[in-house]
Formats: sequence, structure tokens, C-alpha cells
Amino acid sequence: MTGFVTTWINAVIQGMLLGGQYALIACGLSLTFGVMRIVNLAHGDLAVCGAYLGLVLSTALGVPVWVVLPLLLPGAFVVGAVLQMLLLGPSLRHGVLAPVLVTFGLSVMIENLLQVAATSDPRGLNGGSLAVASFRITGKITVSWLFVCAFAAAVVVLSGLQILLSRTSWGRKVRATADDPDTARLVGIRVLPLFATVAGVAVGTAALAGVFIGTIGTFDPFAGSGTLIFAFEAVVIGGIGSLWGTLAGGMALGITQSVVGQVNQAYAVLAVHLLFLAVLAIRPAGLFTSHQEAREAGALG
Amino acid sequence: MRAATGQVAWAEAPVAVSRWSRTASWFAVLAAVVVLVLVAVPYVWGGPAEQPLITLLTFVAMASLWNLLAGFSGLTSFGQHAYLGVGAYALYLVAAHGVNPLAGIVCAGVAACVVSLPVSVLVLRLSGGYFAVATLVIAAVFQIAVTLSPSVGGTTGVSVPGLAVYGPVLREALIYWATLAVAVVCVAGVYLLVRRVFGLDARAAGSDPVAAASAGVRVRRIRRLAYLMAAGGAGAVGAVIALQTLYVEPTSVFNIQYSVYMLFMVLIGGIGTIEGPVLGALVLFALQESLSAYGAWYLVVVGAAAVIATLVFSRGLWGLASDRFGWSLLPVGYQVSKVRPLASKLWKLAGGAACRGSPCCACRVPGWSRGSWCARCSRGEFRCSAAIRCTGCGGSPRPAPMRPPPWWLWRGSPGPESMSGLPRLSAGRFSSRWSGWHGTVRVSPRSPWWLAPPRR
Amino acid sequence: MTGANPASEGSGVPLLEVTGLNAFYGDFQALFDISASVPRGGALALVGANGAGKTTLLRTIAGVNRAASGSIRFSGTDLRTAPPHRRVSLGISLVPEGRKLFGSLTVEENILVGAAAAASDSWPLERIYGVFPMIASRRRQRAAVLSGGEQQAVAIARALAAAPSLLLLDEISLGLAPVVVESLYETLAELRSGGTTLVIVEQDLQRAMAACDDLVCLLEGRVALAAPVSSVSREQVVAAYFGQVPSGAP
Repeated sequence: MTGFVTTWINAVIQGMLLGGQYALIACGLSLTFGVMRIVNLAHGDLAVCGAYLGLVLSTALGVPVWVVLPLLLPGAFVVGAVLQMLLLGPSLRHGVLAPVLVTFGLSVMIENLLQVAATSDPRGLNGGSLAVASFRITGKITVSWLFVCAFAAAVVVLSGLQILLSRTSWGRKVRATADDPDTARLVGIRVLPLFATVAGVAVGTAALAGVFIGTIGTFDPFAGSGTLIFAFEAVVIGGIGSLWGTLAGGMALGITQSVVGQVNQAYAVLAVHLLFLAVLAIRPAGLFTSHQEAREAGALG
Repeated sequence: MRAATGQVAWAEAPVAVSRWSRTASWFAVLAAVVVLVLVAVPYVWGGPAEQPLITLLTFVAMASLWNLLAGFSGLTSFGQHAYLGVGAYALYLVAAHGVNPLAGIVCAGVAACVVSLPVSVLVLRLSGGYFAVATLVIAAVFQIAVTLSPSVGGTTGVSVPGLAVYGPVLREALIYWATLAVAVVCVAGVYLLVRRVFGLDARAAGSDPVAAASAGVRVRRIRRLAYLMAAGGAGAVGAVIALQTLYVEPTSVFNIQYSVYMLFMVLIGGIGTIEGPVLGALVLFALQESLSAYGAWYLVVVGAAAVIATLVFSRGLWGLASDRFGWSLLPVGYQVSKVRPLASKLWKLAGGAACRGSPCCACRVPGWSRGSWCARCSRGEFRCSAAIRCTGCGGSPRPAPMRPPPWWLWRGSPGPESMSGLPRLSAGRFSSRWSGWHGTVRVSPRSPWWLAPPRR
Repeated sequence: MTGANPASEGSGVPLLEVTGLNAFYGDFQALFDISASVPRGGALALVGANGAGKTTLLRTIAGVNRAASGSIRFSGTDLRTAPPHRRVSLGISLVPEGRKLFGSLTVEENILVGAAAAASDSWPLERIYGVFPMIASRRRQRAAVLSGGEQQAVAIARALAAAPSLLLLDEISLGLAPVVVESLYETLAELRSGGTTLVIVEQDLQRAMAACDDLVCLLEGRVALAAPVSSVSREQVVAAYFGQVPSGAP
């Protein structure tokens, strides 16, 4: 294989793996919107919070951040459940736009609190030996284990969520409530605690994604809004309400970013945004959702 | 008390519907005086007073425009700062080509409006939270596009030329007056716009697009218009900001903080009212003056206040005041007021619309005349009880329907705006929220001017 | 306006007793001082024109609408502040108007969801499929693709999965062919003979009077007629239905 082709194949592979990270951060957003019809604008900031918390724990205990995950993820679950019960759930009663306003305000608060607490220096997480390990596929193509783990984590989380939703009693209740919250209440499903668990799961996945973002790159208090935008674009491209579509959307973003970045790094992010706008122009419901489903979900005007 | 259905004479329905009020007249006069005072500021107080006022006026303008989008049309956009930036750069481009920057403000507004048209085609396909994030994406795209264009200075930015012809004092004063003009146009423009059919349609489309569409409102067109106008206004405001700082660079002019401020001002002040954003701008300004020393804490407070405002007092400060006290300085909708039954009886006894000395139109006898509505032409005609024909159209009048008595006879003050803004002026039932009274009001096609439903 | 006397079906504490119930939608009062009672094992027909408040009454009993005042006693327990899931686990189950199935769930999943807050284990899946054999063959299909009659059967099955002692049915014959409605009512008779108490809202007066012991007719939110079915004629019911005669209860 010529060097030219291998460069491009390398770019595509890196892009696909990068897409896994985007899918990981996006699946929580997709879950929250699919079940509760709330777009959590603080989702990216919660991921960054997860990264900071991971930093604090791993520095305090002096271990790579993977070791503190069993402590971090349940904590994130609790935070998500509490946020839902205290802020997001009550906001639903104030109209359709209230959750948007509340989550935006929350996002501002989180970013600036982090700024006060941790200053705006970029930080990195201690990924241990995994962070620097890599393996070669062929002569020119090197893949970092960390990227592969991030992708694998995304696949695991998405499959796990899919199984939870389709096979368990909890999943049935979640899908029923997503279809018709009023009737769900009627048949005896306790909707508010259910929402709390869903929000907890969503924030848990966000924290995990934040840990990967923090290990692969650097993060600072204001990284949340960029993360949110990428997560959102992955959800919209993949299709509102489809979990595997989110993976596809993430991969589309990642490949675009990587391939364009190969040509000119400065245009990479712009290309991603333009891809999103193009999908919005041509097929606003996303690749894997029908227009009808998206309109019913309340995402289309 | 259940009034008969069908045709109801005014005498049986002691209620009044109006679009304006005495308080509003006083307030309009006061507002005019305030604007005149503001115009005189450079002459009287000079430079030091202008700077903070410019900030305040920019806030007022931004808040009013965001309120037009989110409060009246239901489009929560967090990317309006994109158009601030577009306006700023448009001003630079226009000024670099030799146009007077002050005239360039108008060009900047137009440019922002033009840019927002293709954007609106894309972005208005989404709604709710998805729309909000899409606007964030647009802002990011604009910022990146500008950063990558060396012709507008890339990351380093450019300075706005063309103002060197004026001396420093005059320059500051001109910028101040330009800001004042933009703020007044924004607030007054939004107010007058919302009072028209557009406002009614926008509020209907914002509350429930499906119901509005089935009532004949062209929801997409309304939203597009609201978006374009808000973008145009934001462009003008952005141009003014650029003039003030005289230097335009991407990170400061495309700063999301502006959107945070807009959100805060409108939520705290009172979303969906005209007075609310102005109040919110004052609050933000006061906060900024007192808390700016604390850096990031200031924004934490702003964010927390926005959250609390949405959850706890969702109608904002002005909404609280108008709910509690019934204040309405700039009425937008139709106000229904209940008239005291006893007072209305007295009023009838006293001769209906006692004109206190206006000559009777038919026989020109001055003094108390029984005011009557001619049934055919519905013009209020004063005539002697002796005369039989209405001098207006020659028809014979009905017994005096009661003209709504003066404001000081009304029970309490005119109530707050009807919640949905959609008046029930056709024959139908409505209830007075404060007393549980049910009644029917019918407005004939030739009612007095202050009662006429808006023409489509 | 007191409730009908318990009919022949046994005396003692009525299973459901509603007294002086008032319910609002915002400022609009939908129910004015409603009182009714249903004996254990009995069947109450709730009739009335559109907008009379029948669905509101059922929803208030089920706990989805809030009652402003009045009391709802179920087997002696006062239910007024109990949330819907608590009422389901006590044994009240509502089949909502318009079926309201969960479209993206399969038939079996719909029924399993209904058992979320089940009062007891007495209605496992097999027993439900035994009552509704027609849906057993479609258990893995998405609920949205079924026919109207099958959807109604699934809706009732979903309510049954909660093992209710009181089953509230809201207009189950809407939009269905008479043959299908006939078979549904046969099933209801079976359920009744098994001990389940029924409250049926029905537009078809004849069917309602044939299937039930007691009848309550609502008019604009008030009880216009409350009597055992055997003691009123169809004409009296129709008169109360349209409000032609002021409330005829003795």
C-alpha cells in the first residue's frame, strides 16, 4: 500500500475511534431527550465535572483514573438523580421551554464554579500506562490503546443500555413512560423516581465520557459547551431516539474531523459543524429516524 | 349572575374591554420625558455619565430583542451573540469602505438580517431544546469562519476606522446617541410590533403551534419573521458595541456571555412582557456594577438567578408585580375589567354618558343629555330626549346602552393581560378571574375604535 | 343526591364509595358534589352525554385527576390523597378512554408493564391469555399494529395484570364492530362472575343497562339519576341523560 493511501486509512480509523468518544458523550443526551423530552444543555459540563472529579480522586489516591471509576460512576449516578428530582423534574411543570432555560443556567453555573474552584488552566487526567500504549497494525498505522478502549467503552455502554431497555422490567417502564407519561402514571409506574434513575444513568455515561476526554486530551472549565455541541450533533445526525444511530452519528463526526484535519487542521471543527448543517438541511430527522418519529418526539418544529 | 346569551346590551354586562389605559398614557408621557433627559445627558453631565449609560442601553436593547424571540414567539435561542458578531464585523467592513460608521449601524442591522435568512431556513426546522443547541452551533460556525478569514483580521481582530474625523468628546456623544437611538427603536419597535396582529399570532404560535396553525396562524412565517427581526436588531446592537470598543475581535464579540445576559435579563425581568426586559436590564446593570469585582462568581450568581427565576417565579419580577398589583404600563393585549354593579346602576341613573355640558347634537341645547348609541351607525350621539332621530345616520336609537364609566369607578385596576393574549371578543363566554363572574360580551362590527378587533 | 342503594349483590361495606366529590380542570369545575357507591362484585353503569364528566370521574377515582374536595373510600380506606400507583396496588385499575396503549412496546410488554404495581399475583400472563385468547397469538407484535378490537383487549388485559378488585372501563366500545364489542362484554361478564367489581362508562345505553346492576347518569358534572337498573325504565334514563327532567332520584 502506498503511503498516500495508508495516511487516509489511518485518518479514517482514527476518526472512527474518535467517533466512539462522541457517541459515548452523546448517548446520555439521547436518553434524556428520548425519555423525558428534556435537552440537557448542561450535559457537556457534567462530563467535564466528571473529569474534574476523576482528577481530584485520582490525585488524592495517587492512582490512575481507571481505579477510581467504581467510585466515580455511582457518584455521578446519584448526582444525576438528585439534579433531576430537584431541578429538571420541577422545571417540566413550568412549560416546555423551562427545562431549556434551567439547564442553560445550570451550565453557566457549573462552568463558572469550576473556574473559581480550579482556575482555567487546562488539565489532564492520569491515565496510567494505558494512556501511552499503542499498537501497530501495519507499518504506517499506529492505533493508541486508549482510543480503542474509548470506542470499546462506547460500544459496551450502548449495548448495555440497549439490553437494559429491551429486556428488563425497568427498561419496559422507561420505554412505556417515553411513549406516554400520562398513561404510564395511570398503570402504576412511579414516573418521577423513574426519571431520576434515567437521569442518573445519563449523567453516569457523561462522567465516563468525561474521563476519557480528560485522559485523551486536556480539559478546562469551559470545555463543556464544545462537548455539548459535538454530542448534540452526533444525536441529530444519527437520528433522534436511536441509540445505535448515535454511534453512527458520532463516527460520522469523527471521520469528518479526522479526514479534514489531515488536510488542514484549522478547518476540521468547521467541517464537522458544516456536516451537521448539511444533515439538518437534507434530512433533519437524522439518518436512522423517520420524520414522523422525530416530530412526535418534539424535536422538529 | 348569568347574562343571557345572544345579543347583550351593554347595560347588562358591566364589564369593559380596552387596549389602553390611563396608566399607560401617563407612562408613555413619562417615557418620553426620560428619553429626552437621556438625549440631554451629553450636554449636561458629559463623558463620565455616558459610559455606564451606553452599557445599560445595550442591555435594554438586547433584552428586548431576546424577549421578542423567546417571550413572544417561543424560540429560545442561545446563539443571538452570533448576530452581534455579524453586526460588528459588518460595521467594520462598511466603515473600511468609507461609509460613516454611524450610518453603518443601519447597514449592520440589514446585513445581520440578510445573513439570518438562510440560517433561519436550517435552524427553524428544529424546535425547543434542539433549536437552542442548533443556535449555539451557528454561533460557533460564525466564530470559526471569522477566525479563519484573514480579511477581517482572523484571531487578532480589527479596529473600526472612520470615527477619527470627530473630536473625542463629540465622538463619545455620537456613539452615545446612536446607542440611545438603537435602544429606543428596539423597545418601541418590539412594543408596537407586538400590539399588532403579529404579536397575537406570535404568542399563539409560541404557546401552541398546532392550535395556532389550526386557527389560521402561519406559524412558520411568524417564526421566520421574528427570527429575522431579532437578528437584524442584534446586528445593530453588535455594531454599536463595536463602535463603543472601537476594536472587533472574535472571542470578545462572539462571546456567549451576551446570550447568558439576555437570558438572565428577560427571565428576571419578566418574560413575555414589554416592561420586563427593561427591568431586567436595570437589575443586570446594578448587579454588574456591584459584583464585577468578584470575577467568575458574578456569572455563577447570574446563572443561579436564571435557574431560580425559571423555577420559582417564572413570570419574573414584572410578572409578579403585574399579577399582584395589576400594573400594566405598556399594555399589549386586551384588558377586561369588571365594573361595580352599584356604580354602574348609579351611572345609568345619572344619565349614561353624561356629557356635562356638551351641546346636544340634534337640538344644540347644552346641559345633560342622554347619550345614546344609534343602533345603525353605532356612533355615540348626544341628543335631547325630545329628538327622535340620530343626526348621524337618521336611524332611531335604542335605549341608552351604558358607556363604560370612568376608570375611577372600576373595581380595582384593570386586570392583567389575558393569559394567552387571545381575546374572546366574539360572542362567547369568558370568566373574570377575580370574582368568578361569567358573562357574555358581544362586540358589533362597528364598535368604537378602542374596541375594534385587529384587522387581518 | 345520595348514591343508589346497593342492589341484590350482598350487603356490607361497599367496595367503592364516593361522597361529595368535586373536581376541577384549572378554573373549570368538572364535577359537582358527586356521590355514588358500588358493592363488592357489583357493576355500575356510568352514562351521560359527552362532557358530562364520566371520564373525569373515573380518572379522579384512579388518582390521575386531583379531587378538590369530597372523599373516595375503597374498602373503607380513604383514598383522596393516595397517588395513582398506590391506588393500583390497592386494587383499582383503569382502562383509559381511547385504549392508550404503549405503541412501541409489544403486546406482552404492555401487559407486563401493567403489572408494575400489581395488587397481587392472582393474574399471571397465562391466566390473562386464557381470558383473551385472541391476543395470545400476537403477543410478540408491537401494539401499534393491532386492530381496534385487539388493542382494546390488550388495554383490558393490561389493566387486569394489576390484579384489580375494581376495574374501571372507559368507553370500551368506541370505534369497534358490534361483534367485537359483544365478545368484550362476554369477557366482562366472565370477569364479574370471577369476583371483579366493574364500573363501566358506556355510550350504548342498552348494553350498559344489560351488563350492570346499578346506573348513574351524569349531566354537566352532576348526578342526574342514580338507581338500580331494574327500577328505572329506559325512558327515564334518556330523560335524565338529556336533562329534560330535573334530577329524578326519589
